[in-house]
Amino acid sequence: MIRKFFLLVSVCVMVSSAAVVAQETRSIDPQTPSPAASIEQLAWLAGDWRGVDEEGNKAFESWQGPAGGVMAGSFIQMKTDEDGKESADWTEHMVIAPRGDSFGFYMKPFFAEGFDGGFHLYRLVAIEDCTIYFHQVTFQCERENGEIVGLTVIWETTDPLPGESTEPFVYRYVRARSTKIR
Amino acid sequence: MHFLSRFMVGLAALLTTQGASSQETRIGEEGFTSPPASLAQLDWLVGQWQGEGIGGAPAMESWLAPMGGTMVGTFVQETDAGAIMFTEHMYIVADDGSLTLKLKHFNAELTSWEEKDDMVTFRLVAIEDCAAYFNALTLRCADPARPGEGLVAAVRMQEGGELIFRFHPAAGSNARSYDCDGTTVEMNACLAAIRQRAEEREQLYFETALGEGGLTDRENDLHKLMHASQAAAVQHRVQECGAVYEFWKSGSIRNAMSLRCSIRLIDQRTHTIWRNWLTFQDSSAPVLPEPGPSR
Repeated sequence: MIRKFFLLVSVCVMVSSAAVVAQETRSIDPQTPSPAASIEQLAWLAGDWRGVDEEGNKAFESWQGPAGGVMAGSFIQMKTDEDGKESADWTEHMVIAPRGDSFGFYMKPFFAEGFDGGFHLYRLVAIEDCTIYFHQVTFQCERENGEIVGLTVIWETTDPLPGESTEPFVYRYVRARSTKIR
Repeated sequence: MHFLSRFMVGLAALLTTQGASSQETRIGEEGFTSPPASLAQLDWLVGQWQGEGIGGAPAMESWLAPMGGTMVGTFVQETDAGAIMFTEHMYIVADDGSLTLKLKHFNAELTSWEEKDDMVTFRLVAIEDCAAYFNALTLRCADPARPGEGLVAAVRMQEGGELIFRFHPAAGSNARSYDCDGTTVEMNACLAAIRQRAEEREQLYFETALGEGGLTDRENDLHKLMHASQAAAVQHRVQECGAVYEFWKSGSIRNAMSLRCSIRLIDQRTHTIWRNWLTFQDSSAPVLPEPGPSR
């Protein structure tokens, strides 16, 4: 609970101080080639990020700096049951890997029930400043005094259930430093 | 499996060079019982690590802080040529009062080594200060006296022999310094980093304290009181250290004075949480170690 308290405070600070930037996803036609890009353009994503989804569920995302021409990361989505007990909802193994002279974002979900899904591929659409547009998924930085302090990840709602919102689903993160005791 | 055969060649080369050095890994007896352990005992693992892995080629490992009974990690092994050899998606889960590490390998083409829905599982054999010995897989501090400064990972291979991975904190992630000096800007950045660590430790201790209370109705009332107390403590430090800043306002030292004030009050609060909620009346070991000054 206190984490939520801290998070809400820090997320509020982040949102109020960061410039308001359009939050959008973009799509790429299967016939259209992805633009050329270098791994250095993606490197700002590296680090540990903690945040919340739109419903206040905690989420954590970690990206390693470029290694072997790829960036690898992990994600964990928390859920809270009726008794207020938190547990992992699902996790993801994420790799941004070269596709020709461009990149693809590969994401494989692992569900708490013990099964995993296949890798989903989201092709690169565009990189602008520190916003990376993959097909239907956007990674957007938040800057403060020139330093990248926040990350917003925007997922297009591709297959809404009847009556469900078709608005993009947004995760807001701030940097999480590693916790060291002693 | 061209990839696997290349892996095995690399492995053989590595084993011959490492010789019969002392064993890093431990193997549980058949049907062994895992010792009691909690994720809070693995705080030294959290963060981003880089170093050398198979055949001395670069490797990276990262672990997120424990959440809801799970720690999630990523591992990347490069080839000598600087390409990806494989990646791993890893979990350490709190399981029946002990810990289990599970992982799944993916080669450069992102096909997994294990069957779908399958992970390799390593049960805990022993836990020590700054070291977790899973069955055939070890994670430990390079130096237990200096957690956070080095990580050693080791895996026992089925053919015998071990793979050893030696990591240091990845640049700009776990990096920290003990003494803050230098220019005003450097000193402030250093102190701000210490304050950040102090806050995160306080958060961990407070969350752990809440967890110790359980979640019965009575405990829910208790949680409300604990949250109110925590909010008051945060408010107190904001006001007190704001006053310190005001007093030093005309000097370049104002930020450093205010930051030191914050770090001291956060550490005091963490110690109070520890004393009131994470220690026992009898001689039982505390839930978390006694927090010393942040550094």
